[in-house]
Amino acid sequence: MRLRSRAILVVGILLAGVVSAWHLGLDSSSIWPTAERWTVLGRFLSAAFMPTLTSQSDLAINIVPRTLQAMWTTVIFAVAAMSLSLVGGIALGVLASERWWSLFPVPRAVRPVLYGSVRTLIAFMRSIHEILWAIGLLAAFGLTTVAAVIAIAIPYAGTLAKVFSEMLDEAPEDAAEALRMAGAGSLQIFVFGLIPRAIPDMGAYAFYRFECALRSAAILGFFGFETLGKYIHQSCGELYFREAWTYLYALVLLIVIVEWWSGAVRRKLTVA
Amino acid sequence: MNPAARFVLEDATVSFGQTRAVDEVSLRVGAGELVGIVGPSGAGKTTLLRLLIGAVRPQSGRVSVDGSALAELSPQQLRALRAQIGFVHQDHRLVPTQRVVTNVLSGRLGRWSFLRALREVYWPRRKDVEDVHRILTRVGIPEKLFERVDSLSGGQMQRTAIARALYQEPEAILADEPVSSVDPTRARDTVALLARIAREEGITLCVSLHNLELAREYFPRLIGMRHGRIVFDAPTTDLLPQHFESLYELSEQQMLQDA
Repeated sequence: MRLRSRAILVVGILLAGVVSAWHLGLDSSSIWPTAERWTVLGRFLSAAFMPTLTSQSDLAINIVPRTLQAMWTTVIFAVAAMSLSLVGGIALGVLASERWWSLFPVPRAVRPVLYGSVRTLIAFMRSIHEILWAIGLLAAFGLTTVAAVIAIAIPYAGTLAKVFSEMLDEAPEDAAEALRMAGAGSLQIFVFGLIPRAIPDMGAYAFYRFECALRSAAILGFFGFETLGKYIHQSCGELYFREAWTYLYALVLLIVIVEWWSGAVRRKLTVA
Repeated sequence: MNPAARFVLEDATVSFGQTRAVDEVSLRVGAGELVGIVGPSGAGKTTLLRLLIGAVRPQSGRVSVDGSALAELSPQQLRALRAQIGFVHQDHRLVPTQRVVTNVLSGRLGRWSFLRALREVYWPRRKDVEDVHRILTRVGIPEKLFERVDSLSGGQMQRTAIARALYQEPEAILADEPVSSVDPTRARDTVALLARIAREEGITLCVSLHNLELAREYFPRLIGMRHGRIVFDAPTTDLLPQHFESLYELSEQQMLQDA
């Protein structure tokens, strides 16, 4: 019986795949690249083994300063966006948690309305991708740092707030209970008993989001902001793949450094 | 009523579903007394201690501390009262990722406003850190002042929890099975420590214990509990071996009956 229902499920998934492929107009010729495309793909992949430090359009230009500058701008954008979204994420995360509202003499029936409305706001913030926020903010502010930073910060604050509120609601209550029995007030119990129990998870997650922010900051370069993405976009457009790989490796290097750093901090946060 | 009575229970009953955790218990503990509470697990020792600090409310009967009935206190008054009573939990209930000093400092939250607490706990003055150091010296772990709690052994964590209770400058300490999770030698040291400090500072001390031998050695008064009722409440010197046997034998009979 169970086997049969599983078989039906597998056939169903395969059917859905075939139907959507047909709907997209995918056939063997469009899935399989033409000989010309194969050459381009081959050039792109082989360029991975020979990144260059000089510009492919003008051999006299050394691209190292440009790469370092773009790395720096990417980091600055990510740090600024993260700082902003941390402030928003913590504030909204607290307001979106059930425990926060249970501290106050708010009628039980009203509480879901309070954290529910905050949760709706943060759902709105994070359901719009940073690229879409960037398009809107570009129109408002132009190619400024402010536009890029806010574009990243809004959805990131929403995501942080959602995850933080869940962490606050699930943090162990042991220390909070001890402080309550020592005469601590509601706000004190939350700040000294619950938040410190959630901090290790919150910190680890914030670092993970910082990695994501670096990637987002790089991608926003596609719009013309001076991050790594701008040069990746440009050099790919001109088929200067060796140069593109230099920028890609620079991005990978940034991510690896942050990953290594966050790993060290996470270990410190969680285990002794 | 005797003005020196610190904790008074009058016919207090607490039920959890069908179970009567504390069954019409009356009890009086005078200021400065050292009382051991013994009995098998599930006898109601923890609930009894939690009643005394207002962490559970009796369905019937009365609890009063220092002459005031807990049921009649405003939340503010209850906070103020709790600030004067240290509670040591079986599972210590510290913040494991914070330092010992931070955990101990948070013992005084009951006395401070929120903003004052922020400053006192996260930016303590030199004098306060010295006070914490002095208390840690008393409980035997002065070198752990700036260590993180999760780097400590179980016994050291329990001492940190005791230090947090002492930093409250309490008039009474209630300790719920404080040594059930440490090895026998450390258990003796910890109970001896609590008893000594309580005597020296005139602190009322009520400790629930599994270990009868330790209870008889350090507490001049013992309360025996079984199935939510007090089986005996007497000076330790008056208690005979059959008192203690009854505590466990009867409960075994009961268990057989239940089974």
